[in-house]
Amino acid sequence: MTPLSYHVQEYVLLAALLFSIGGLGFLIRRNVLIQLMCVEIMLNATNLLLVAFNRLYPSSMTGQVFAFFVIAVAAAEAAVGLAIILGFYRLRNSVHSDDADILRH
Amino acid sequence: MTIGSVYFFLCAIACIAGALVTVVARNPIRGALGLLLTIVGIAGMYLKLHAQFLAAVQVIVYAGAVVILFVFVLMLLGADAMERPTGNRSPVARIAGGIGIAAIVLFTAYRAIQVYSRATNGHFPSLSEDFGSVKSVGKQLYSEALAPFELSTALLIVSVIGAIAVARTGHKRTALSPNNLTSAHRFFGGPVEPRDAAQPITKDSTL
Amino acid sequence: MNQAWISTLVFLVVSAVLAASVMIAARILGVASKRRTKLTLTTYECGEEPEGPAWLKFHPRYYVVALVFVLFDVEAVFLFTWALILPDLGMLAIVDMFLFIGILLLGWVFALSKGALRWQ
Repeated sequence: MTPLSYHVQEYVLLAALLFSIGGLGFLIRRNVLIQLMCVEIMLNATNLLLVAFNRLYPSSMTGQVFAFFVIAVAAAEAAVGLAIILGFYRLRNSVHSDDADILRH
Repeated sequence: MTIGSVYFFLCAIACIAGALVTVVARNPIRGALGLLLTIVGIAGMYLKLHAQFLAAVQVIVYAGAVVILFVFVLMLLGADAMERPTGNRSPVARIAGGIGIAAIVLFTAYRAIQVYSRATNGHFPSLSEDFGSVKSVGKQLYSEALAPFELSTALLIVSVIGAIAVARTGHKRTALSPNNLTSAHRFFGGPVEPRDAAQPITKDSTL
Repeated sequence: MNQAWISTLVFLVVSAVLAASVMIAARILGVASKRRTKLTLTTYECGEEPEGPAWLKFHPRYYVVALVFVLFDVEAVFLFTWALILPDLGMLAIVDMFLFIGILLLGWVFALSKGALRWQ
């Protein structure tokens, strides 16, 4: 067997596992904070793929530049998401996503 | 097994263990620390992939700013950030959910291994000296990616304005005098002013 | 060939060995009572009895400070990249960066005008 970490496939496998763990966490957890953390894990998994494929095709740095922008967007997303969680907590005094049901009643 | 494989394996273990801790943690502070472990593991992967600059950015922005923001919010919410136990799910739903989750994870791993065993290419080529350095990333960032760079400013500014607007709703309307209830007091259902050091913390005082 | 990860691996191994050796040495050399009673778990006599939960609520105004920190953290990363390659780039990069900082300063002015940064 060839040694690990010299093929793009290992990184694809790892990114797939991380992405599915993050997606599952987002689906099964009811704590909005944990759900936001799971979104961050999914973003990280896609970033890893971008960088791994840039390593496979190294003629330009597009993948890394794109991953850089994804990181900047993730920072903005976390800021807004956490502000929304604070607003939700003020409104319902809870961080349970089942309590976000005002529009249903 | 080469030493590079050992390094890859350690980083992969850190990533997956951190992600699992985040998903299963009852206490969201443990979740934030699991997220930190995942992020640091991915920064290690970036080093292995010759993306030194991105590894530094990952640690500075993700570990240094995003996780800190999460911990800040956890400290703002206090013990209310804990998930309340949900005891109303039937065992059938639990078992079905567990089987579904296991099926999805196993299917992902199976497909990835299947693709891996069939692949003949995908071996990383050798690289030039400055691949992944700050200069090479910066050159591309400030030549080809100028428009997204400027647009990212607009995104950051809108996010900060939005976050301030959402996080400080009703701040101007309720006068913040020590005699009055503060808006934070009203919304957070308890005194959240910094505690007087002389006043003993008792179990009766609401937190 | 850049081998930045090797130094990271060495760093990880050294830190893990150091931490583990200190803990193992403390376990071997330390004198501890083998019996676990209620008294051995209490705070030592010079300490104050802890009361109430340790997880206090912070004031929400700290959130805005953290938010402004995140904004300028991302800006610093962009500035760092820009400063290193400035000699290779022309006037356009300088103009662009001033545009970038100018737009970000708008957000700062907004935060000031909303009173978000006022400490009361």
